[in-house]
Amino acid sequence: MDPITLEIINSSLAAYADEMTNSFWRSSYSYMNYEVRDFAVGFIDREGRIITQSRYTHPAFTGDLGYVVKAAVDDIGESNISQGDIIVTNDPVVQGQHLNNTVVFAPLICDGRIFAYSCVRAHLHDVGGATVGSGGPGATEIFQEGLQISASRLYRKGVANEELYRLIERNTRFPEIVRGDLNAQVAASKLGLRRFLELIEKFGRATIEKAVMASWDMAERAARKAVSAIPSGRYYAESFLDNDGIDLEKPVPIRVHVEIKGEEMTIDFSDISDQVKGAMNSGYYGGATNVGRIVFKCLTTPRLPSNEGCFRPLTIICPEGKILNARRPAALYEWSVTFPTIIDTTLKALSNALVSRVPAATRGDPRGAWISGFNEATRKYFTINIPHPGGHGARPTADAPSPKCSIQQGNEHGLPIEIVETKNPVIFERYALREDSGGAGRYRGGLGTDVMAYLELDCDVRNQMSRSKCPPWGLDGGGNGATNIAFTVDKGRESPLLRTKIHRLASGERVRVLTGGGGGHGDPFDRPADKVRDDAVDGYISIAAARDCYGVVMNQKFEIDEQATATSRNKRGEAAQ
Amino acid sequence: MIRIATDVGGTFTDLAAYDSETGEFIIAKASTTPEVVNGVSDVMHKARVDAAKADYFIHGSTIAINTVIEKKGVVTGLITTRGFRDVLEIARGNIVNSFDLLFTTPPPLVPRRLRLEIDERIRADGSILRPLDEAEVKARVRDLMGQGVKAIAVCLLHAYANPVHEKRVAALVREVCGEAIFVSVSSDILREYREFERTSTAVLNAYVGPRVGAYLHSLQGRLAETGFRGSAMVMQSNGGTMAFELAKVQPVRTMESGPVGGTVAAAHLAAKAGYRNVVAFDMGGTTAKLSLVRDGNFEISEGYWIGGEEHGYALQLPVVDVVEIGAGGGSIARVDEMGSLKIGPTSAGAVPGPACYGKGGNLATVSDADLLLGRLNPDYFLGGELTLSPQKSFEVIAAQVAQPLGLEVMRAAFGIIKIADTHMAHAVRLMTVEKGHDPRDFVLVAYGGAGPCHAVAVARELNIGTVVIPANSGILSAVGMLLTDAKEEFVLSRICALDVAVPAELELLFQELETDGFRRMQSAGFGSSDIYTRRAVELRYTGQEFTLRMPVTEPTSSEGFLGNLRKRFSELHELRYGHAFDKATLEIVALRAEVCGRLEKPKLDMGPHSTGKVAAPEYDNRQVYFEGCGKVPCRVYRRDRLALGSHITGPAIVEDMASTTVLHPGDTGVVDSHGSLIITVAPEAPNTAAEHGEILAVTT
Repeated sequence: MDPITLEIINSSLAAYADEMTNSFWRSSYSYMNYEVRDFAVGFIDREGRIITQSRYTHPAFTGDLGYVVKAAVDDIGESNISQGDIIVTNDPVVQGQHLNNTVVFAPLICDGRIFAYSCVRAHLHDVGGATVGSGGPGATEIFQEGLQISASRLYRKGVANEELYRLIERNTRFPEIVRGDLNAQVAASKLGLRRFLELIEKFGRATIEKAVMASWDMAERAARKAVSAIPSGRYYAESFLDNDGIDLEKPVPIRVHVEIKGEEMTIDFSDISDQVKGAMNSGYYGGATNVGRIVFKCLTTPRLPSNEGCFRPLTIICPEGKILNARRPAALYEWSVTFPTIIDTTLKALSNALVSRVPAATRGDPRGAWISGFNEATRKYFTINIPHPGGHGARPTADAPSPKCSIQQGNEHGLPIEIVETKNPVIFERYALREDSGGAGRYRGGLGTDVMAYLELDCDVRNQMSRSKCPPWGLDGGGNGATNIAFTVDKGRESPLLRTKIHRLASGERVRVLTGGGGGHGDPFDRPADKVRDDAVDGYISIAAARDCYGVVMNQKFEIDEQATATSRNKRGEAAQ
Repeated sequence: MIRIATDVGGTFTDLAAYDSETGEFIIAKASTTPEVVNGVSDVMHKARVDAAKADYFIHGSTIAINTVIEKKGVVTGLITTRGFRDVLEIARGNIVNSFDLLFTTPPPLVPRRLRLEIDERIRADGSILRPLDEAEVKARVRDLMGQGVKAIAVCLLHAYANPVHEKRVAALVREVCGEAIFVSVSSDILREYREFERTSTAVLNAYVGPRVGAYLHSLQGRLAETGFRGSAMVMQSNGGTMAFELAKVQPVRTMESGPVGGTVAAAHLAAKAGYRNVVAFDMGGTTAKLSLVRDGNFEISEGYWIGGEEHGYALQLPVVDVVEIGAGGGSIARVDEMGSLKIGPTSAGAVPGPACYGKGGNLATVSDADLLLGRLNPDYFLGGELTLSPQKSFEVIAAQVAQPLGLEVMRAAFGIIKIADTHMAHAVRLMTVEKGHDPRDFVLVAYGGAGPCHAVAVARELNIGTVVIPANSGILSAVGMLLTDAKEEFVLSRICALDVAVPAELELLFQELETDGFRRMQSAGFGSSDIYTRRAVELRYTGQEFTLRMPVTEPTSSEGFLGNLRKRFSELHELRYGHAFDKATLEIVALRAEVCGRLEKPKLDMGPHSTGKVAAPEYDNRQVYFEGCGKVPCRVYRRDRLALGSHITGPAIVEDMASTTVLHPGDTGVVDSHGSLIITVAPEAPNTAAEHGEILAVTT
């Protein structure tokens, strides 16, 4: 294939995905989409393979998209699909993600047969179920979590299926927002379709097909090359999540085997937790495939557009009945809660083999606390997703970055406090860095955040965080980061907010969410004393932590006591010998 | 009346001046000097312009943006609401490059130790939840003084809704520090929500404030020495100008001072040639900058990043929407680890520059490809200032592109150009098609060192039928500055359903917004008849966040005012996003007013040209490579020898000091009365597909 034509076709497809991203983002209706950007777009080929996907959105929305589209087409029957049809699905059996995540796609028909699909997957604000925003703690079956939409036509030959729209609207607490977002999805997938057709007109179907296949081959080569740079062998690491969401005393083990054989990698989840009673399960595609692909891409082709070829050297093993391959009717609302821990554990397994490429652990959780209620004054439901960026791990040669969302959430944005307060009866008192939460190390782990808010009416709050017992680990002698924790504060008295229960938050009562920090990298006693002092001056660490974790002794004016510091650091050095 | 415009770029300081009495139009160029004001003095001296007679001096410079990019701002402190000092560091919590495990975040411009909190709180509706603790403010200001800050930014939660506390804090800072400290207040700069973006904007303003202020002060001194007694103005990012005194207080508005002038000039010159819809295409050494003019107005965007989203700083202000992509003459062509040919975004810059410069550059660039294809004249680059080496270009393209890809060298060179052109076409498409505009309704105005060389191919790719290459395309930004009006923008965030809005109340709010601007324009010397306003409302469907900006051209008292607004909104929403709702409720989110002071524009008309065809004097003839025909003999013209009305037919090359224009076979060009070369682009040749096939055959 001629390299110039190839580059033109593939950069065109990537540019169209960006264009669809912008169109959907700017015309969407739920804050989960316009502000948080909980969506992704892509082109899928007739066989369900990924042609290309949006670059600046949500990684966990893309790894399994091809399988979901292919299954939807099989359900309807390819021969029944016509030009102008638009299909909608959130079918949990295939998708294995929570029911809010809804795929809308349009078939591209060329020379009388289907050539590709233009897709937008987005988070619908609410699809029914036990609590506002869908899902909810205590759910043990998918039936409690909301409306299940098996593959259906939202448009037939260009005409909207009003009956289906009405059915969906009846099943959500936010009919206007959901209808608006579905329409924005339809419009963006049609936009992708138009662009793709223009490209076919210009280059012809056969040339594009060749270019796409060539791009897969190229991505595959790059991925193989990256894998072959990892020493062959079997690697293993483990960790755990607090509990299954129902039984507080039942930890959820996360055990990951990785095998590198030449240019190929196998991620084996055979020893991971069985599927659980609560809602932390996911399906094979939405769970095992998705999280395996995310970590694989991070390790091999982080800067390349995501396509089918990127994943060819990867084999994923996950038997049925595991937490990442749950049997129906498992509850799925918290489908991605396990991902940060799985990603970190996989990286931990490889950390000795890839010393210079793997950061210490993140806070290991993608969520914070969720507030919902009904405002009698406006007669409307409301939900508030408390902003929850958290700590990332220290790099092998640098301090961690500022608090961010988890790796699998990618370009997801936190909600501005001013927007949340404008739209809801809430007051935030604090949105701050959490002092001393970053793991100590030659390179310091990232800080978590400390957020406190109250409402001016009674509402429900639930703690969505699931990693408060297994701390974010450091690497190469680095210390652990602080764990995730949430409280309610009533008249100055803090009580832990348990994640299994909905707490009725009285008007004026505070909710406080502390996201975890990231692990440190390297021995903290090797961190230059002036850097430790800088961290203390900036309040990233306390003077006590400077002394206890870093062996740097200073007074309240941050003046270092050189002698005491030398003594303290030597003592540790002798102990180590 | 004489108006002088100077534009300071990285390499050159340009001047354009116009005397409305004599009709004289002066241009000059001098080297940019390390002490920037010296370069400005030099260029004024060179131009022999009588500053004492000038009424206006308009200035564009990169000092504000460079201060940020080079991190040369002053030690800056931040005063903010209790509980929120870390907003600046937490930012929005997103990872721009999703799969990058080792991503980094830029250090905040104000370190945590200099971000101090005070007791106060305003609610989203503007009401006061906690009063301001004035004693604490004073104490914190003293703390900051003790730590040696030179500037203080103030950003309090919900100050866009009610700035009363911010104003009081600013007064207290003054009370404690006098004039020794630069103060930047968020609500003075913008009245919009999103605390991170607003804080970042106020901080950027503080961070660059003292340096920009000192620069403008020293420039004022130089101007005084020349006897200048008129109004000194600075170019703003939004396409208008502002008085030096205001720019000293809000320097953050001048961040994109440079590129904007070019857009203004492109719009003006195209309009003179009868075109209202313009893609302004400015391709230089490192990047191509694209901006859109629709129906005579530039497209404005809200919010961007200084230094890019991954490693840069958020700035939430209106800016002429300039899309910048890493495709310039110096952009490096390479074969990546996957075996695909990539152009840019890294650039060889001016030093060492492309391999053909012979200044030590040894990487293949777009300019090397242009030279090899015969488009550039090795003996007449920058008017002969630099002799180019085609041999060097051949060597690097052969070794770095042709051999790894198994292509013949000329094919490889053509491939480099083709890919660079495609990138630029995509960028144009993003700005037009994505917003519902058909690129075929636009003309492409090309300038900058490399713009005219690539313009026709980019236009053809987009089915754009006309390309305009302005005269003086090398100093177009300075020319544009002579064509601007003074402009101030005011925004009021106010959420209310359109159905219940009362036009008379909207009228009062608009007038309130405009009053302050009117006063400021009057004090800047504009008579009432020269002050004009433009109004707009930001609308959205209830539930959406992003808005569409609807210009308000009819009086608020006109019949069916609100109904018309709804109708126009639905049309635009359908156009932009492919759907619209007939019955959904609409919300007004903000009112906007621009208050402008009209300045007389220079007449750039160079006189009537003959209506008959004027034969162009051929200067030279050389072999140039074109798509579909390979190397063919090509006529070469000198731009300065083309009389008004000259006709030329492609294939042809037109050379001037600053750039080289390429006309492909089938294109025709004519010089209009403003000296602009208007090119009619031949439609895509029917044999292009065959050409693709031909390329395909090369490697398979």
